[in-house]
Amino acid sequence: MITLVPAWAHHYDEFWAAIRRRNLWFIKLRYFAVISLLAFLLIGQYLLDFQFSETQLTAILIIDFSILLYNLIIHRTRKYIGITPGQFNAMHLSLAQMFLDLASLIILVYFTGTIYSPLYMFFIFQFVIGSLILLGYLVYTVAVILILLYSALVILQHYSLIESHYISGLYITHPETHNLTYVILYLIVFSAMMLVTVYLTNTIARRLYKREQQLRETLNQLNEAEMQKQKYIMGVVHEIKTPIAAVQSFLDLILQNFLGPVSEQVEDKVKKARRRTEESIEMINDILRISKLKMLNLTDMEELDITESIQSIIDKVSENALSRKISIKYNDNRETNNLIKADKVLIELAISNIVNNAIKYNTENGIVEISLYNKDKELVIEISDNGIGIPKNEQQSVFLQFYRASNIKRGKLEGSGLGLSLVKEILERHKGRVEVDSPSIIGTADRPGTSFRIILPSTEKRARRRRKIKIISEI
Amino acid sequence: MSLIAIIDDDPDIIEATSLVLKSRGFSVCTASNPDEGYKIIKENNPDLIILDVMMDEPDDGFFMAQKLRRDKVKTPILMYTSVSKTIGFEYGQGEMVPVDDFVEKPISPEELIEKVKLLLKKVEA
Repeated sequence: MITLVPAWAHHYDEFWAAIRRRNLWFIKLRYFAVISLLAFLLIGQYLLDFQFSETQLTAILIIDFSILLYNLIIHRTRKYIGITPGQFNAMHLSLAQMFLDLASLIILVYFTGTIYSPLYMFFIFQFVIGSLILLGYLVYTVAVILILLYSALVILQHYSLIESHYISGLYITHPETHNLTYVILYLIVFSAMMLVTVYLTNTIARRLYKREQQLRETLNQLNEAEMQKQKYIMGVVHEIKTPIAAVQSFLDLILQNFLGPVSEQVEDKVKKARRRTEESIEMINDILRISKLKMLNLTDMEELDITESIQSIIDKVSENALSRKISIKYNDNRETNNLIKADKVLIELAISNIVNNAIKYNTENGIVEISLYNKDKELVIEISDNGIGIPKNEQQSVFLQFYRASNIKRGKLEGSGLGLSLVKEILERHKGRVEVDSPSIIGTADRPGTSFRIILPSTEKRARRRRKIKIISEI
Repeated sequence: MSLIAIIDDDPDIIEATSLVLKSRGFSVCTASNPDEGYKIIKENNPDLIILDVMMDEPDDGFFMAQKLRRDKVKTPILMYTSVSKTIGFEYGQGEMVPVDDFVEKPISPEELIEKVKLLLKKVEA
């Protein structure tokens, strides 16, 4: 099998994607051509009085039908044709299509008058398309063959060595009134036009591919630089964590009376210090999480039952919720429990981040409501609370790194402002998204609350059974 | 009473850890780098080793743990790390990390005591 693919494109996915995409276009375009040709025949015959001969009618109909037939075959088999350079691949399919089309067109042109056929212009069109996908030498070879074939037909017809099929309704006088000079001039112009077209399109297409490849390489370099940056951040943050961790270890020694009793006043101050070190450590951990997520492009995708994840999250937070007198409600409004494709650890991290916020930014006797429903083949996990809410003009900013809403009192509630940017990053990894609304669907005037919606693509596959969620913290 | 070796290059962590363990009646011996660490382990034959994962070089602690196991030292090892599972760095037991448990820094005294007691109990059993 001849390798039709230029070496630089062997492992270049975008090149193959383009070839396959174009193959599909041609198939669609060809259906259109079949219909147009039939219309040409019908309109010509009945409205414009073209006076097709019997032979012409039969020939054109046969060609039209053949085009339809091979197009159907190509359409069907397209899926099974791979992109391996050594085997019959999408590129060979393109070439095969081009040959079939050219053969059909040349027969069609012959039966509609060759030099006088209004259809010969389509040769140009075909070569523009061919040049976009085929290697230069191939297109040139095909172009030269076509020029020779077409010239032979024209000259043979000029000397009446083969039969001509003019569409008699199209001409006022009999067409064979030109001399040889006209034929030669016509053929020179035709050849030049073909070759220039091939040259221009081929060069431009090739440059475009290369440019695109360069762009991709640059993009990879940028990603690489981003990785380096994240590594650097992780290193630095780690170094910062070490002394803070040591400080906190000492503060704990004091607070837990390992050094003997301390006065209430000292204890109070040490407690404050302890709270601040904990705040820093939480922030550091969040930064480490985000950096790690950005560094590892790999996510461990598996099919999972979201109700199981939600149960484990509720189990983890229930103690905290109970101690703050916040009740958790759960309802699953879906008709079927479809599995989702996700990285279990990451998706649980994202959901628990929002559930934890819903508890953290809530007040006594607050409610956190988790609802599941399906919308347009997507799974929506809606987490609503009736806590302090988020001011309207800040609702989009909460997903930015280090952003904290202005109505959170500084020092009162620890938080780094990194949690939601992590959630956003995780969901983007899953081709999902997160939306926010405040006041929430369960909010009231004095307790506006916030609703977060985690939206994930859902699979067709159903979980074996729907888990009955146990809620311990319901008051 | 059990003897515990603490090997960490951060003197403050050694001090804090020693304080906690001594308060519970354990004896401690300390070292601030892997070489010294080997020496005190050979000399004192402790019942438990607390080892920091990063010393002069990252992963020093891992290499040291591996070397100890190769030398047929079966003493339980409790490893101090500063990255936790919550961040997604999964440390599992096994060939790669032949340690018995982990404590994430900052060290909570209660957690430390609990894990130390548990590991020592395992040895006795």
